[in-house]
Amino acid sequence: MKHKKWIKMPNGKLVRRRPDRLSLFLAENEPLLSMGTGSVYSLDGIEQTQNQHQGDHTRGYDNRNFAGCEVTIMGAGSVGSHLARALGAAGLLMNSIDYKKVQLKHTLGNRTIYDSTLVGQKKVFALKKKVEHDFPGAKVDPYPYNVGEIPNVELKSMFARSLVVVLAIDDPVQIVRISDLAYPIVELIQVAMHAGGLSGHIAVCVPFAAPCLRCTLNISGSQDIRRLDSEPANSLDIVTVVQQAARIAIDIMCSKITGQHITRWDTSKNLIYIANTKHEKISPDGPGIRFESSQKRPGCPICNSH
Amino acid sequence: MSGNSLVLAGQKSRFSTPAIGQTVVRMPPSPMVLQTLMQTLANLNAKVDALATRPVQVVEVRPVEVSPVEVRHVEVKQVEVKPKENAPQQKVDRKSLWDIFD
Repeated sequence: MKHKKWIKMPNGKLVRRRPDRLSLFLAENEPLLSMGTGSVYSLDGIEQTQNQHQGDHTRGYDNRNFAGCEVTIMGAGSVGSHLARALGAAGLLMNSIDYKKVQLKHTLGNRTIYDSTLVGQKKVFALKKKVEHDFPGAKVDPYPYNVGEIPNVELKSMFARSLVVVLAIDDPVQIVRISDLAYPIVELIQVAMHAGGLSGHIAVCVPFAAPCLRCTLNISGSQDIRRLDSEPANSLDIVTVVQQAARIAIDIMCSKITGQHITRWDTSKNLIYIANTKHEKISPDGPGIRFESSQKRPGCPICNSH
Repeated sequence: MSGNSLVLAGQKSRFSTPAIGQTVVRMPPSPMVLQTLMQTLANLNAKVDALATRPVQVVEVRPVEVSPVEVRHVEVKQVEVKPKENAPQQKVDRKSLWDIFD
């Protein structure tokens, strides 16, 4: 909301708005709650030692570390929109790219975060409305374009500014193109749902350290990936996968900002498979999650050229 | 930007109060400082004279002999890449990740 330049006083006179000195003072003299200072702060402001939080993987998590940091989310469908909402609390600047419009079917059963009042609007603008309304401090920069129409130079520039790029699209050609482009620049997280939403996966590609998306998925090209259109799925299953992806994205961003190591998961394992139901090999008793490592394939043009 | 000092000072007219002049009183240098200075100057002069009157030095430079080096090709064996024996077994069928929706 834009502030008015003049304020009308009770006596009817107009007074020019001036910055609130108290707010400025408090902002400038706020205690620095930086991570790794040997102490954490609880919500009631009482300082506590780290020993009381041994093993707490959210130790030191502070939204203010992310304020103004940029993240790029490709796709604003069911995965992309739920992911943007999951990241909303971090107060990030989110670049959202999608050219499609919200349809009624997208709003049924909470398939996406959009409601019926947003039908007919471009998804990225609807996303901006929802996220910025629900999470003050979060900002969405909408890009209502087809990813395929954005030239490499523009994408590379956006990737260079971003802490993490999340790939939540199902266009096989663009998945491969973007993952190849992003590999030497920024951490890429591909989030995708499988048939019926019974499972999903998260592939984490860290430049130079982890294999590229081609090697992680063991694909030779975009022809190997098949898009499932209008796939029926339970929205809770989608959110389950998205929540994991959001936590992984937050961990990576947190590590990049503070320089702390990621301790919540084994970073050498860059493929996370989430089963939303019983899985013969991975979790025979019920829903489960498996972290698995991938190998750089000899002769891969993406992994081995850097 | 104006260079007028009155403009910079925000004054529209001349200053009303008269400026008070200051008289700088210089102290004569002490004889010890003068003596040290003169001694340093004399030393420097002596060094400059010594440099100016020194004989020219001739430096002999020998020509560098270059011996030809035999270059031969080195044969490198093709390295065979084998998968690690203790590589963790992958339970996730990667082909199951290929059919996706967003």
